[in-house]
Amino acid sequence: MTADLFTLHPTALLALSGMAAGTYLTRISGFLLLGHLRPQGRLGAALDALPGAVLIALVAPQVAAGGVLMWVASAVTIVAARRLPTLLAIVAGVATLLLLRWVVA
Amino acid sequence: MTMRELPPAGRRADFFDGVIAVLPLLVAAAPFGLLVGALGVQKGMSPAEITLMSLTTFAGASQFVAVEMWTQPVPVLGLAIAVFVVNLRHVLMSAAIAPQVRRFGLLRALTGLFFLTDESWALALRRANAGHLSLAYYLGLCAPLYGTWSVSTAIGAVVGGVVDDPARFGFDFVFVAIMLCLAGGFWQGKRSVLPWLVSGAAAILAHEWLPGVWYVIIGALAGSLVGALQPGAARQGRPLDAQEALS
Repeated sequence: MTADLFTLHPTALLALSGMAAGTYLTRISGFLLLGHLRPQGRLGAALDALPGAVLIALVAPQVAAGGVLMWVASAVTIVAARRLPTLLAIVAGVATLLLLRWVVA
Repeated sequence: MTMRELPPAGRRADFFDGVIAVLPLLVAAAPFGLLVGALGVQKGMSPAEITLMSLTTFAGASQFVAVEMWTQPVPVLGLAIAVFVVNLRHVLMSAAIAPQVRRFGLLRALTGLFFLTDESWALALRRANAGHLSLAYYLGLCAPLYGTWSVSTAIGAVVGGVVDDPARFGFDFVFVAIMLCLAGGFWQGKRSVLPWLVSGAAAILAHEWLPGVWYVIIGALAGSLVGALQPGAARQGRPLDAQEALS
């Protein structure tokens, strides 16, 4: 086990390089495409709406599929996030979910 | 275009502001790092290989996909394409943050963007909306995330199976909770209602009908499009432009 701790297979290295290159490309291309623009008007509004839209799109399917317990926990998180520091809001949301799961189980 | 240089003391303060802002999110990143490390080894990767993946790709969701696809012989091209597609949302994210990072200078911007994640991006934009995003603050966000992610991957790979089932401890919801908290920072009242509803609905539908993670791109684009097309959008000034004009 200890012997292969540091194994770096050539094919694995090739695969890791491809993954790293592809990921870096996604991280710079938006900047390279739009970096010289000064977004105004509708393009500015689109970029303005983008952060919230990305974050909501990331979680919406999981929340929708998570059932009533997760909907309640999500609502608790959102309400808590408006009043508490982020860490406490996260703790409040997760604690709510665990408590509900424990009660239901 | 002049880069606003902070005095060293201001840079240090900004860096630590960033570290403090990102601290709560490290608690959530670590278990997933442990898990991706443990899963990678289970799939036949060496601890060095899976840790190198965390150091070079540094993108959680796509690494779980890659580990899932990791077979012998290693599907080199398939992995690159799958990871690229999972990370396509970064294109939108780096476009949204372009006006801020370009003030770092080209080389620093291109280096800094290597460390762009959902978390550092959201917190960086929040900082920009609240006033001014400095390179020091951005690095303060990225460095702890990068360190936590790679170290926890290595520990997970060596120790193995520390976190068998994240759902058991509610960690499946931690990511959702973090994203909801981050989203809260971008709530702009009435003009966020429609884009958010459309984004969520489009993501849920796309998740239902399309393979993979296209739902993120489709939901994000749909919400963003509605933001651009809704009444008043054309006149809506960007607070960031005002900030830029002042500096």
